Amino acid sequence: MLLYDLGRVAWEHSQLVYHALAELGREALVLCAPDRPYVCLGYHQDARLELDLDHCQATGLPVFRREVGGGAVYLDPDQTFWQLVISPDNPAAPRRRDVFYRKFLGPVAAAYQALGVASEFQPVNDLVVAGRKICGTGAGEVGSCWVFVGNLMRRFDQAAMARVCRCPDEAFRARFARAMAGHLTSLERELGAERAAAVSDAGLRQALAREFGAVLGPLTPARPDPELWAEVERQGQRMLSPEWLIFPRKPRPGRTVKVRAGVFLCRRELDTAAGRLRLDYLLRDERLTEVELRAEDGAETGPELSALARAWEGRGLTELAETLAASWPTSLGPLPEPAALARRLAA
Amino acid sequence: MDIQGYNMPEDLYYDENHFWVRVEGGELVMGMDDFAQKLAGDIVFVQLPDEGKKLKKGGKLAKVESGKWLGKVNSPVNGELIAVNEALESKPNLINQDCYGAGWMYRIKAADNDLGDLVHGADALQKWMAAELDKYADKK
Repeated sequence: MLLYDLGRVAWEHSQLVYHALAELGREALVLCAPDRPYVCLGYHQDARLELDLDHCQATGLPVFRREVGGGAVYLDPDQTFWQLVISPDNPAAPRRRDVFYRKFLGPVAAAYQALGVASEFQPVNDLVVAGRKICGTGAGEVGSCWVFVGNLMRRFDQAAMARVCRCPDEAFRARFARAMAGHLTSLERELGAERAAAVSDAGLRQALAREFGAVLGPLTPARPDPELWAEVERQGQRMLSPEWLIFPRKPRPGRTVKVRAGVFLCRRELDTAAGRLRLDYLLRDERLTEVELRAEDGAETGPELSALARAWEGRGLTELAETLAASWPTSLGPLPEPAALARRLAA
Repeated sequence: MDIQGYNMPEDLYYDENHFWVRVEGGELVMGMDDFAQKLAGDIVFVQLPDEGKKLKKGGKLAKVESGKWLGKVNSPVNGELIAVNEALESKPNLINQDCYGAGWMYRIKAADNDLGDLVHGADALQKWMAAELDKYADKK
């Protein structure tokens, strides 16, 4: 398999090269980092619903929509990207996704471990250190190939990520940043700034190349050739257009942002006889946690609403309808249909 | 019929990527089969192209995402897309809940009735699934 160790590249090439390789049907491992920050959306995401596009435009932050799965992410030169392009006919590529993910996250986990970070695989497709995610991933079928991409994070700018995300208000944005701090980690956080700084970007790419080579067999160093650049150009014309970027989706009520697999920060509004209420919570493994219930304007709640929030704390979605029926105070008027409300609170 | 825990109705037609096709009058209804939805896990997105889209047999029809994997849906026939299951926009996991019923995906007006290369009938289905189960076995 070919190895394109590209080092730092123009931000758009950090996405277009692997799309081009897949369209050409050329198996390869690409290692690179972008020369500047940008935001990358998953294929299924509507930029207008997911991002604060005014902020991105005002700060000159490019936005890209990739043709693989996963969600919106802030990317910058502090992250080293690994991008595997492999044919479904390659006997090294397991057909079962769970096996595929485990196999090809193995080299990334090993690279972290070689650097002194005890990362481990967590199904379906995460790497974690003591429960904190340390690797973003996305995968899909592009051209005739399967593509699996992700990053090795020297550090992750959680404040920048929270800033580019579309949030209903600044309180929600602050909670999102706090949630990421609790659920994400990085090389720098695990090793300390000094030890992390001692590892060069080239050293990170070497570690990845070595570990992927152990799984894929010998990797043959390659440089982009005219055919590849021509395909990069073609993909750029398609994927850097406004028509590609905006993928219209129907807005859903409330707001949900993903923190990591199984952890979502949610905002819902509830209309009651006492007025509209603002409900914020962290949905963790389908349980409501850190529940906050306030008046629409964000004012402090009285003891009755605080008690209601406490009653919902830690409840699973499956038991929520029953909890709602048992805890709903008469001062809020008629009880909403509990099963319907419980469905609204799901991610 | 049940094949090693997978519900594979024998009256349907199946393409090689585990999408089923049902003939309803002069139209075809298609969706994801039980084997594929179980392997995929929670479906989080189903692309619903505009009705009227011209379809080429084996050509790209849409995309489906689960577990951060964006997969392709290819058209089983030449024809035209005449309806999509709008419910999948907000509830894509209907496919996980009821892949042959409420989780149907697309309705197609076929240019011809050539379903000859799709798997159909109990014997063919048994044989095909045995090969598929072997292909998808947990090989490291």
